[in-house]
Amino acid sequence: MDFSPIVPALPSLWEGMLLTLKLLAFSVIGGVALGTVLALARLSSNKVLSLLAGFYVNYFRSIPLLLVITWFYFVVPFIIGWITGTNQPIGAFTSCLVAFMMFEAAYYCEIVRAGIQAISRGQVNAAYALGMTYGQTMRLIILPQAFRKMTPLLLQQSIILFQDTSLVYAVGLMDFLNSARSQGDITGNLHEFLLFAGLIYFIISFGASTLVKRLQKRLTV
Amino acid sequence: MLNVQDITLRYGAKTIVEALSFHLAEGEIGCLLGASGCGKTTVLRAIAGFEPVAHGRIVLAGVTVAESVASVPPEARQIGMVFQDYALFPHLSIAGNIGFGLSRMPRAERDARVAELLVLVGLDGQGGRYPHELSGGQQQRVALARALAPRPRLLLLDEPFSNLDVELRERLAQDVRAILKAAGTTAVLVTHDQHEAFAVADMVGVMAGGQIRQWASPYQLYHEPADRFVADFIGEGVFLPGRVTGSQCVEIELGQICRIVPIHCCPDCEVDVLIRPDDIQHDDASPIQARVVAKAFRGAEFLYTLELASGNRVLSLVPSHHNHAIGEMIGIQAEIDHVIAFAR
Repeated sequence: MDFSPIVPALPSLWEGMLLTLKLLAFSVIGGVALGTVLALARLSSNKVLSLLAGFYVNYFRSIPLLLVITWFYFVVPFIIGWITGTNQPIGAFTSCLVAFMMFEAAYYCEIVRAGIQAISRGQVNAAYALGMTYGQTMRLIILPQAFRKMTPLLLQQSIILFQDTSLVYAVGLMDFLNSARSQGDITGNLHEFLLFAGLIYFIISFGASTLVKRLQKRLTV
Repeated sequence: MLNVQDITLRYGAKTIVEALSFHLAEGEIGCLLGASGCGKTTVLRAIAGFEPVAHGRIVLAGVTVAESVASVPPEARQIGMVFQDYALFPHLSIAGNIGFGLSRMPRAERDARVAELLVLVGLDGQGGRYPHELSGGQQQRVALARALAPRPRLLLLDEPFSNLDVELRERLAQDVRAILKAAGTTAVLVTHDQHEAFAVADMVGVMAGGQIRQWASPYQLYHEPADRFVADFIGEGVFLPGRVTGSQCVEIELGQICRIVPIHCCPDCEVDVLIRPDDIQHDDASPIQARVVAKAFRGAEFLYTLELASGNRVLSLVPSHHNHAIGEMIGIQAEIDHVIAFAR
């Protein structure tokens, strides 16, 4: 075992990590936003809306992420081209981002839905009785409380997403794991590089997970 | 001000409330009193707009807010509501809670209104605290202030005291009445506790089986119940058999009592006379003797169950220093200002 080639490869590994983190951040933001909309739709008294959202969530929760990534890699450029009428290539990063957002939204939706349902019906009635509309009630009363309750769960799901971002290797995106692999191939120390990547994933995921647990304790007190 | 006309409320096929009506004048406090399941909360929720009206209508300040065909949504009714569990917003401060319904007001005006309400409910200077830092009674006051802040046309209170200690309940009931009267608010209270109803309301409706059996002042409910059900439900008391002897008098074994509340009954017919515990006074000099068969200590007084010569029983409230043993004979006297009798 020779770990010394890792040192000169650190800058390109860092590049990969940046891509991973960028992908993660955008996916979480987009996924939570879309997930919240889906959750509101699922809880809506409008049957059609609720059924459509339910179908979306169940569909994406029933297929492998890897399938979604590869599928979007081929389909998203086509759809965007069809919408904009141009034929510009949009790149693997964007199609991966869209795939993650849409896939994770299904999971975030269920967390947000549970969070909203955990807020007592009385809060909604109290807001209505004070003259608030549905939108104001959701924005000012229900969602702030719901998000506070579900922050730990959203973070846990995001830690899983952090690990799942490595699936972008399937479409050749140079994320952290893929950089480690390619650097390993170049220097011929693949095992060492993969061990190193594993260690980094472990440190970040485990560290974040520990922090979330502490946060959870603080929020429940 | 509030006119509930002939409303019928249903959950699916089940009729909860049928053909119920009552009326409240501006500034009046009304109360729906009844055991759980009698439909009182459903009526309140219908007035608030959380339940649809199957038949009849609800008119608030001259505007029909609910009918079977159309209804004004809750947020547009200008109704304040105090909930059983208060439903304070835990993520907002006390001031934030109270000011929540005032979002359309300019900031300075809103702050002034919040401060004014904090004073009104006796929580002056506590606006920066959060709901979980307050006691139950304080949370109750915040809920009241929050509901009053937008100056609602009508305030609804759903079992507002049921989460409080008995001791606090009585004091707060009086406070709430004082606050509502000071603000001149028309209000409807729902409760299963008649003491609460009497302490807060001007007019009380006794409900059973989805209907109001009697809508009257507390005094009238107690002394002039409309039927046997109300007589039984409100206060304590027994029925003694009697005979109508004249146009205004009735003869019972405790003597002849006049000023009878008119009943549709010919002279000489048999009736049941409602005797309240406060109608029977302990008097050692009285020739009428009764045997103590049970007693309950209530602090200031004893509630004695007394057996008359005929074997009929009456209740009597006696100052508690008159401590008689069970089995003892004591002198009693009927001190009845007016009686209510029900035809057999």
